[in-house]
Amino acid sequence: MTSTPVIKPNSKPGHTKKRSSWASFDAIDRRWIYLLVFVSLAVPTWFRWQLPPAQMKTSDAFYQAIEQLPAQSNKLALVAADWGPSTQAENKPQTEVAIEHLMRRRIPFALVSLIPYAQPFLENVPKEIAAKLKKELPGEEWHYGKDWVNFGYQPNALASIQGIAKAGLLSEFWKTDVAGTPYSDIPCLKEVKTIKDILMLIEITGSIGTFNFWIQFFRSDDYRPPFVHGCTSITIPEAHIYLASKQLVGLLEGAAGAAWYEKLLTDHYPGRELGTAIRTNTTLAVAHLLIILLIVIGNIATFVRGAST
Amino acid sequence: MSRFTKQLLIAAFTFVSGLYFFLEYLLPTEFTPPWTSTPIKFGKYHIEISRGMQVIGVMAIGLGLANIVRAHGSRLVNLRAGWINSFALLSAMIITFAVEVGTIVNNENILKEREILSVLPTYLDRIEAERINPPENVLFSPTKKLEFVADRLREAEARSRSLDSVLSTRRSPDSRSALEFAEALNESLIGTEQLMLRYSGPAAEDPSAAAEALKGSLKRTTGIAAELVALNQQQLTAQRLSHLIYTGFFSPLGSAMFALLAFYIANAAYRSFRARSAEASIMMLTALIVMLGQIPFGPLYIHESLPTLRLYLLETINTPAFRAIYFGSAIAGLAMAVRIWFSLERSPLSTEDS
Repeated sequence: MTSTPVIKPNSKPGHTKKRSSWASFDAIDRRWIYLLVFVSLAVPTWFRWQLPPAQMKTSDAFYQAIEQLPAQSNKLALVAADWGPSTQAENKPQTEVAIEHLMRRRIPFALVSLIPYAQPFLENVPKEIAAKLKKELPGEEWHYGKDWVNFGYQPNALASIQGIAKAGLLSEFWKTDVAGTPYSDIPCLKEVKTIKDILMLIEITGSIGTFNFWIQFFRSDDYRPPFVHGCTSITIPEAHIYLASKQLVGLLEGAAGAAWYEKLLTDHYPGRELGTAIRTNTTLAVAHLLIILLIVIGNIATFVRGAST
Repeated sequence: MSRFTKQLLIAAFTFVSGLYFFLEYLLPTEFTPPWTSTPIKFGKYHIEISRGMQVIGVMAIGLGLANIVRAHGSRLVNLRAGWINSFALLSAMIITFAVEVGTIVNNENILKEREILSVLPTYLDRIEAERINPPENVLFSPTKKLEFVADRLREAEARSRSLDSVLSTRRSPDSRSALEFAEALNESLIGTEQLMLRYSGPAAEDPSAAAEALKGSLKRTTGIAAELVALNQQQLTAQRLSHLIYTGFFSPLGSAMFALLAFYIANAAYRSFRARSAEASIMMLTALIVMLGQIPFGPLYIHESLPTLRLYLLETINTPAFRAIYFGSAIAGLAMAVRIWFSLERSPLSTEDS
């Protein structure tokens, strides 16, 4: 027995309704999207693609802020690496370029963090940068205690920030460094007594809460050090508020900001070995492009489906 | 104690604590009230009070731990659905806790060792002062005290030899540093011992100069010994396990959790980012400009002014809008903070009737 084709009203006889190819894009299995994202991240990473980064004027301002710091002033910069493993993809390159710039300019710095998971990064990042610089500049050396000091995790963020800012003597607040060396035995801290001896605060974080604490409380009655900030891409819009009000003098906007900063360092120091910032930025850029493409395809599919019905 | 009394006590404590922090922020660091000429430093004990808050916070962590053990422990004991996950959580928690306690104990011991080493040069000053002005009742003679110093240095040397053998057995990359430190320590120790003999010998010509030379040598030796103590610290079992747990499990898992977001966001952006209205279209166009202005492809292959346009959107359009949102949420937060301060919010002890 032959089956009679169902003829729907307003349809041509002899034709059954076929799903359009654009409509099928709308119903695509999510696993194909996951696969495309995986490929878009894996291929540039594997082949180490590097593209020149987009110019970031906020990174230019960050660079100039460190360039204008006086070297050999017996004071130091404070680097607050308030990030952990979850945001290390963006925050670690930012910390690396900032610390490298400070080391090249011979500006001593102290490392702290309000996040307990940052401890291994506080130990390893400056050592890696010092080793890299020593390889590039064989006659020069950078030593712990002389060029940098690590004070480690500071519990109770609010109390710690206020304690540093209001301490009559920093040696009373930071009695020892993270390894137990007394404050007075650390060479780069000989002339550092109060917050007024801190040239600049460099705060790198993936969360907005810790950044707000520093903005609000890291000041004394008559002194506030220049403040530069490195953030993840998700918090860029919020960080711009503080840039506009001049509470920040420089900003590293995610991986793109770190990549542009790395380009500035490479332009200024030609023998420099490239780090991970530009490669990470290129990988992310390919993924961004994929997402833009998916959004465009999705909208075309919706438009075509809407037009056909 | 009645429920009302408990609520009153909590409200009173909350009010006083809030009042302290409010006044500490508001009042100048030091001020002189009109009824007295003595200046008052209101925040004199602020650091101690803040540390007290940390102690209370630690108790909250303990409470959280107790709840985790209760919830997952009961699931494990009764073998309810998902007990294998509870087993994984509890065993990871117990192992990490044990390892970190071991790390803390080791760190305390290491700190004590470093403290002794750092105090030795100052101890020598005391020995020299007692040699110049011998006190009447002395428990230990200067010779005995010098022997104490020599014993600490010999302990440091023995530690360096055992560390060197441990590291070379493990074929650790640190073995070269340990060998260099051990050789430097050995060399410095020989010099220090010779100076010690010269200082303490019966025919010492200029004991003060010998004491100065000995102090300089001792500082060098104890500095190298302290570096070796730090190197040794990294080789202790608890420290190595802690390093393994962090770099082998916690760090990659934390990064992986965040990395998963990339896939979810891509899928969500594809499914839901549709230009169904004028506002949605404007939002999408703005997002595209910001994204293209941030990645290399924008200025390279589309238009070189995209980064400038992106910055304009962020500074001129986004900033006022975000400021408005921030002000609104800050005022709402202030209202909520005042309500909590005056205990106007529902208390955990309140019932339906109260």
